[in-house]
Amino acid sequence: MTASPGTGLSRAGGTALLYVDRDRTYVERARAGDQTAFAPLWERYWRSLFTYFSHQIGDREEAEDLAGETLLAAFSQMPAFRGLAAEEGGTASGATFATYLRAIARYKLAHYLKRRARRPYCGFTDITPCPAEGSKAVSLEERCGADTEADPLRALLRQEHLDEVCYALVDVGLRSSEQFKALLLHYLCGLPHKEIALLLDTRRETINTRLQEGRRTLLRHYHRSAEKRHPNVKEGRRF
Amino acid sequence: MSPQSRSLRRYPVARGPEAQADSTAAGRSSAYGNAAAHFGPRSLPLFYTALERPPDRLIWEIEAAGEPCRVVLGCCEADGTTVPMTVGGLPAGVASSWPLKGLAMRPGGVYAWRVEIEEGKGKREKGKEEALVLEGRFWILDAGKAARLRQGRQILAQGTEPEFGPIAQALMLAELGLYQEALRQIQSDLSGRVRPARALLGHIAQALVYRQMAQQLEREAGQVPARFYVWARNREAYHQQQADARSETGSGTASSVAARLLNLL
Repeated sequence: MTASPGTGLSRAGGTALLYVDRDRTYVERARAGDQTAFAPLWERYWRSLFTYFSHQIGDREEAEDLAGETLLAAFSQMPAFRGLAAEEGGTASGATFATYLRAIARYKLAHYLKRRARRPYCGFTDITPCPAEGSKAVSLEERCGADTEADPLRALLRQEHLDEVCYALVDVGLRSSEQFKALLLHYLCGLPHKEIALLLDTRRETINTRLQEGRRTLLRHYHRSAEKRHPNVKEGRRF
Repeated sequence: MSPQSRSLRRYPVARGPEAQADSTAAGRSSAYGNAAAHFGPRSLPLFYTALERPPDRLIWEIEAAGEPCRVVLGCCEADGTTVPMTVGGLPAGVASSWPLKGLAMRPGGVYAWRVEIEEGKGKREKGKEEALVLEGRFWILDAGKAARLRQGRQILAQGTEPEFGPIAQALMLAELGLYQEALRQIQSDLSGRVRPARALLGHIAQALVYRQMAQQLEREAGQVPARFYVWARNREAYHQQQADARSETGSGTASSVAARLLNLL
């Protein structure tokens, strides 16, 4: 027996149970490339993700960032998301979008806590933050995890990854100077929101908004640029 | 209304956009603090900037270099008048600079300067005389902004990634109106760039500084020199083309090699 993605059929004690992913419609649209399908999913899950991260880390701004990053990560990997499906024998496999999102959120949280042990700032995709104050200065390549002697190919790819971020940032800068400044100072320079607000003489809330909006634009340009450049490379392997 | 806006509205600069535009097109100038070296690419229109400290010397460049000039520098008062502080003539053949050492310039003060070609006017056609005038203004950071500058430098010195530090610093300087210093910072950083992506980032930062400068000019003075606007827009358009071209062609051989290798892994 088969079922379309987003539904699952399970048999328990001879009774057939139908599991339906309530996000199925939007997920299918998103997988088909419809960008407008992201908005309702964002609306539906952002608040609960934010609450989850807020409880876990106790920092409102970081929680906002993490909630946004989780959703963006989920959207960027949407083509790989199989959804809930029924298998032969009546068992359900896969996961609903909410379960999928929870898994990403847990991963993001673990990653964040690991990074916070090194420095209390967050980074863009896999660019890890700057070292703590007073510690020895570490180059960006090292922070990216590139060991040039051990793995020159990885180092090259990391550099290219950073180049892609720079190009995407250039695209943002051509459209919004305010978002450009906030993104550069936060992600490439590792400055927290409070300090960026001081530098740009504005409120932290404004910086939050600029970062949230800028991040969406940045990721859009980043993925577009990466796809153009490496059409044959599987997305999952590049990050 | 800030001191800058008062001075801009009343200073003779308000002769219309055509005349003003000459200060960007006919040459460039800069006021130096303790700087020992010249700087700046050919087309930097540094005619409107804040300075951290009172400058020691005013240096300008003009197409008609070597011709005798008349230099005027004055302090812009709150009532809109300009009180001359130094006026003098520069004989033919000497360097295009004027000493400012010893002039009492105060933090928060706005200073307007003007360089006019004195001789040869009669030989020129009427209407071209205007083109041989350079003028601009600078202001010394007041105590509040100077404190913000110190704080900003501390923040950036503590944990900024060295690779992007100069751009971050330039953006911070531009926020305080220190456009000349911001552009110098980016320019010197760009000279050492080997990766095109990082260089392009610097170019964009430079374009943003100009955009910010234009916005402040518009806000404070109510008008922006026409050619400066065109110039800044063209610069942005150029970078847009560069970015688009890069998107179309890819960043180079290394990328494709790495991508192919990655596919094999």
